[in-house]
Amino acid sequence: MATGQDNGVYQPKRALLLNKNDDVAMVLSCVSKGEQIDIVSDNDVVKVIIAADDIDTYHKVAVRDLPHGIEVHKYGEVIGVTTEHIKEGHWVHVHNLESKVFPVGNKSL
Amino acid sequence: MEIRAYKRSDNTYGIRNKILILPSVGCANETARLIAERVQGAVYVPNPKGCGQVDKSLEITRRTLVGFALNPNIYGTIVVGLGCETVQPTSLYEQIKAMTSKPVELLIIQDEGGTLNTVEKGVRIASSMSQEMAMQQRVPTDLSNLILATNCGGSDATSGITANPVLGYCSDIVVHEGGTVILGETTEFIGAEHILARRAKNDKVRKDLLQIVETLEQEFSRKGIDLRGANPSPGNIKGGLTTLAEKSLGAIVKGGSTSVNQILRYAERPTEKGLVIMDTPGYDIESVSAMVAGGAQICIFTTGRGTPIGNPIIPMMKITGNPKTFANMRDNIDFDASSILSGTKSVAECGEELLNELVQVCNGKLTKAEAYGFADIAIYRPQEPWCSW
Repeated sequence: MATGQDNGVYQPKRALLLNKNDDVAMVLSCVSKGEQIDIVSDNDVVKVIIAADDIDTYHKVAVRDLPHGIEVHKYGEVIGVTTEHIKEGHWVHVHNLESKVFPVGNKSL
Repeated sequence: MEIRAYKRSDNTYGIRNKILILPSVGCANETARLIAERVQGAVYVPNPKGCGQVDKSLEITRRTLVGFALNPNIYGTIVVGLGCETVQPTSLYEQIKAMTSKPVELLIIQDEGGTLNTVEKGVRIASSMSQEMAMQQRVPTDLSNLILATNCGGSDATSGITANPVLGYCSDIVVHEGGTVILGETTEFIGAEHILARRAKNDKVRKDLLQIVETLEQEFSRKGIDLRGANPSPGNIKGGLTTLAEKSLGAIVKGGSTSVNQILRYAERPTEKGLVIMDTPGYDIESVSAMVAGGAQICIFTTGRGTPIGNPIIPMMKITGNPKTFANMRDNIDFDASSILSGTKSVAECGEELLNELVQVCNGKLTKAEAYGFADIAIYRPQEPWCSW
């Protein structure tokens, strides 16, 4: 696992893009704001982004700008809807993403 | 693929050899426990209720208790009843007798004249069964006689890309070899049911599947229940899972990729082989108990955050793909699938290793939960209005 500084050689942090069309990737280690993240798909680095938040291990990072109210994809499937505009590099979690399935009243889960 | 198992008189194959002391009601639990503690090879399954039950709740309890006795890992059963309970011990005994040629006996505490008389008689019967059971040898059979239960608990964001797909690889092989795999936890189909529906064997299975998901969704809506806080659980969320759909998409892959051949009620026994779906709750112990009652001889249980649970009737193999969890909970977890995240092994390579481990556990290797003697049981019961709160 990438550790930032390894044998004096800078090792970028990595995040897995599970489907090439996904909006989010899973970071493989704890990332600090400002750090570079290599977005990896099928063992290839397909994009490089800069973390805009501190992101905990295995949590999600936005790989592109995601406007408010749009569907967010992981595994190539919809996992929820953005509740605010999320810019590339930001942490995506319960504070800015809600499930669209199975609404209760005017809430959604 | 060969495994070695105990052939039962009803032509099922057990991978463990146990005598079941089965209380028909919670009031008989402690008496049943005393019998089981005195006899080698005997297990007792505490009954969470068995009285003061109505409708679906009563039906589910009965079906589950009968299913425990019919499980291939059970050599023979002693039903221990109190006498006055809703789940009448005599009818439970007769129902089991009608469905299997395995040894089944009945003791009723109120008829025997209290605990000590019941325990004395129970120990005599159980020890005699135990002696006969010990004569049984494992014989070669194959995975076509295996029902593999799958379950996940304490999921995190690694589950859907490591432990669950590795188990899914194994599930596909078991199905390919003619065996049966049970996928459950209906809550965790929500948001991913369209994928399972596409794989339904026929229109009936597709409709049955969509119906169990829709019924559950309607029930939540009707009662105004907000699932947030329960599913994804606080641990799921801390582990990086944000929504139920995200959790579901990662969860269903543990059943593999083959066609869905049957939809079962809670604790119902499959009549089809291949991948079948059982309508079970997300609470792990209730879910696994249902699959045991459905005839599963073994469970592979995936976890992101780690869990110690075990079952009195079947071995539960724990697998995680989170390297920190494996290091942190090594005492509880049987298989480390974290090499997928580090990129040193593929899902298929890890899946082959898990398959080998599955065969070894089928052949008698104890899981960690078995070595500790862990015996968690819970039977789902739809809410019954017996008092206010």
